[in-house]
Amino acid sequence: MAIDNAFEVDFCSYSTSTTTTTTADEDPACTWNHWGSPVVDWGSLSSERDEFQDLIESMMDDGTGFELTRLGHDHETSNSVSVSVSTDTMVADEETNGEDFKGLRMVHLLMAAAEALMGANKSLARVILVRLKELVSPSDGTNMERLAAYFTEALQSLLEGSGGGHSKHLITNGPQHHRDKHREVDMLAAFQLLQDMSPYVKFGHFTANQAILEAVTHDRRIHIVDYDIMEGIQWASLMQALVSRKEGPPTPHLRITALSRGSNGWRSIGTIQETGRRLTTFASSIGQPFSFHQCRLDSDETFRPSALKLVRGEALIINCMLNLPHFSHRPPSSVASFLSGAKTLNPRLVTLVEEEAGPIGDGGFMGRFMDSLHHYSAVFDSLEAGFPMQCRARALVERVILGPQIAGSLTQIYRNRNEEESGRWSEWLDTMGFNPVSISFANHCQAKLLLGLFNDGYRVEELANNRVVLDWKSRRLLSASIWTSPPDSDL
Amino acid sequence: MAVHNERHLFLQGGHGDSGLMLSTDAKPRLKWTPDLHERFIEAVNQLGGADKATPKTVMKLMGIPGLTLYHLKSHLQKYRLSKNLHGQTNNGSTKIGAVAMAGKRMSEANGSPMNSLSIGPQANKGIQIGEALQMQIEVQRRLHEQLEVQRHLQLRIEAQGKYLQSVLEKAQETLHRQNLGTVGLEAAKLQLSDLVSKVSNQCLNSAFPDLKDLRGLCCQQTQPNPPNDCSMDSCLTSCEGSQRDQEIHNNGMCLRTYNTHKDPLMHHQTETKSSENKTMGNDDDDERRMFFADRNCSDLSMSVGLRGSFSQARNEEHSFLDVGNKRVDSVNRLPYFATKLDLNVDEKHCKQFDLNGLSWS
Repeated sequence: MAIDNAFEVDFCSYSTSTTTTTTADEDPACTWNHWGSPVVDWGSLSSERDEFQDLIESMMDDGTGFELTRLGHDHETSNSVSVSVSTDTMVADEETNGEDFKGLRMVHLLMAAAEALMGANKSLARVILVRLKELVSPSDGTNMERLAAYFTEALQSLLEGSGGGHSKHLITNGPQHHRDKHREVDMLAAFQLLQDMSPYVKFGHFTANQAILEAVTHDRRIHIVDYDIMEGIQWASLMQALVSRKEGPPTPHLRITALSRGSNGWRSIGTIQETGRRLTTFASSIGQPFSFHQCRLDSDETFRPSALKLVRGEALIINCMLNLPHFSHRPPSSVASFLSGAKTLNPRLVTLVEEEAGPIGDGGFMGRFMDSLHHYSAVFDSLEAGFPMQCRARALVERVILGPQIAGSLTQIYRNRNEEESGRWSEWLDTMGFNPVSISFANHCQAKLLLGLFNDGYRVEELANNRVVLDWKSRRLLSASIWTSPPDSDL
Repeated sequence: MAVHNERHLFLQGGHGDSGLMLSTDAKPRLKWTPDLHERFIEAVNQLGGADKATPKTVMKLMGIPGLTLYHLKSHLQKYRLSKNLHGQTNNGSTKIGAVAMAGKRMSEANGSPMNSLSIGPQANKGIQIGEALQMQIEVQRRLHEQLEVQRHLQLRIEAQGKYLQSVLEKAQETLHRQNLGTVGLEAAKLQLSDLVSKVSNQCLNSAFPDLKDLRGLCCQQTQPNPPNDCSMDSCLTSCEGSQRDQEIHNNGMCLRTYNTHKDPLMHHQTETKSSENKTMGNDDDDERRMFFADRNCSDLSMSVGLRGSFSQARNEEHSFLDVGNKRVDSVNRLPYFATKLDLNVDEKHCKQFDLNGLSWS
């Protein structure tokens, strides 16, 4: 078959350029084996020739053609020609395939690309990403297509970050000079939409706030150290609750110290100072005594407890929101320094909200990659389920908030690919010696009511006395846990 | 479907084969004998507990002819409620559950929670009246707490909404100052505001599906732009405010304190001049008007809420909408209403109703 010959030609050229172990055996299946890492057993895949062939064919087909020369192969072999496989029959094939098949194919390609990236096989990764880009679309199509678009984009930037190459970005945010100005408007609108369409932000905030309220019922002064304050919306509802509380001293003084970093990243809505101003204005508008402070982190984002200004008689609360949809991913070392520094301060309460990953076991990079794919797939689905008609609104949220989140997540996974499974921060707090604080009936009730405002696919799961998890249809997404310092620790 | 089933039962009358005891009320009521209840609990446990079991699966598992989803729905709900209490008060007897359920049914029937002396026959076996009373009080306390949580949640969501508004306004102000003449940006902003208000509008409309026309009662002026979720929240909050009225029977004071509480916020917002930002001026008036029309709001919210829970004939809804008469009924049904709130999240069958009918699905 003509196509088969083309394959043979193609793989020959690949194998000489990319792998050190050449092989006399020109069977494509065998050659393929030399690229894969032990994690994915390409051997077993290749035994089922049809599936395998289909994958390759899907990479090669399409009238748009697929040129080896694009990859910047410098070597010259007589077989290195641009391969434009005429695909009349192929195209017809593709059209009759169902959505599921396409989705599955995209997943396979993503896996293959991630795998190639892991194995430092850049050219193969690029090839696969090119093919992916033809299949996906960030604004039209199904959830899977859009999700795959963002994952493709994320993998692309990982690829570029680790070794150059300038492919066209799938998702453009407009020309540079417009970008800054549009950015903030986009970000705000997208954030508001996210708030309206999903409980992801409110769940963590409200659970933490309720726990804080219960912990400080008899205090006159409250001091909250916020790891990542962003736009400060969490404290708006806390202030409202403090102003209208019935037990204990009325309207206690609230002091918030926000940790600030060198650069806030393009997704932040203004600087920490602006957040402080906004909160101060809001507090005065509802009559909440309030003061705002900043505490600078080191350049590597390490937290130094000594940099914090503490006042006697204050109830100290440590608030740590990690990886909410609109947050940037913070380096684990920074989080670790914050939480361990917090321990030395003997806080009244530690509130922790983090992304909940699935059980990964020994999956390593690929395992975490797939888990990330499942995670965001659930998020995309949850938005669609609630608002099936508002494609534009969802597309905006996906582009501005979730897309960068995916990129950040993959970057983090990639960076930590050779390290041990990092595990949950809540487990870490446990081993550090913090004591769990039970989540009250009122808090549970609030969470359930909150979710009831949205689609009924959301659920609250109680995984421990002090930990509740937000699920979307059996996929765990966000975990909120409450801790306190052990009673007899010394300062 | 429920009506049909009721009729079916009525026709079945007193056939005792299936072990079902049906009363001869106008509304056929199933008597949950201890035996039947035992079988129910068995089925529920087999399915993995009260939260995992659904009326459909329990019905299939129990396999009793004549036992309908309608019965199981309410029974399962009461069971779940008593399970909650069971967890809280650390009692390990299923009899307590039966008592709680008996108590619950009473509060619906009588509308007066403390009238607990005439407990149903199935609970008489070995239960002290004192214990039953205690359970009753516990149930009541929980329901009250749930109401509190509900109210606070509304206020908190509203606070967040207001804060976000102020952020949005400040940002747009700054941008406006910086970008005089950038046509593209203006268009983009309009587009985005449009998107946001569309989403909010959809939420608002689905929250009060039958109330679109009745909103005329609340808002005496039709607006060019649909109200954003800010005003929706305040509508609900003012409904909450009047709910509180009914509880403590002190109308004027409540509204007044709430009013002053909100005023600084509303004042804060009138400062902005940004016209793209979803007609803030209109929203202010909107909020105030919703305030004064809160009587209508509260009844509407109750009736919307109850529509899902009582799958009954249409005429009952309309009678709720009648402002004057049914107020008493609304108050009496309050505890049941609140219970529905908590458990509905888990329950697959009462989908359309949550939190004053504010459902975004």
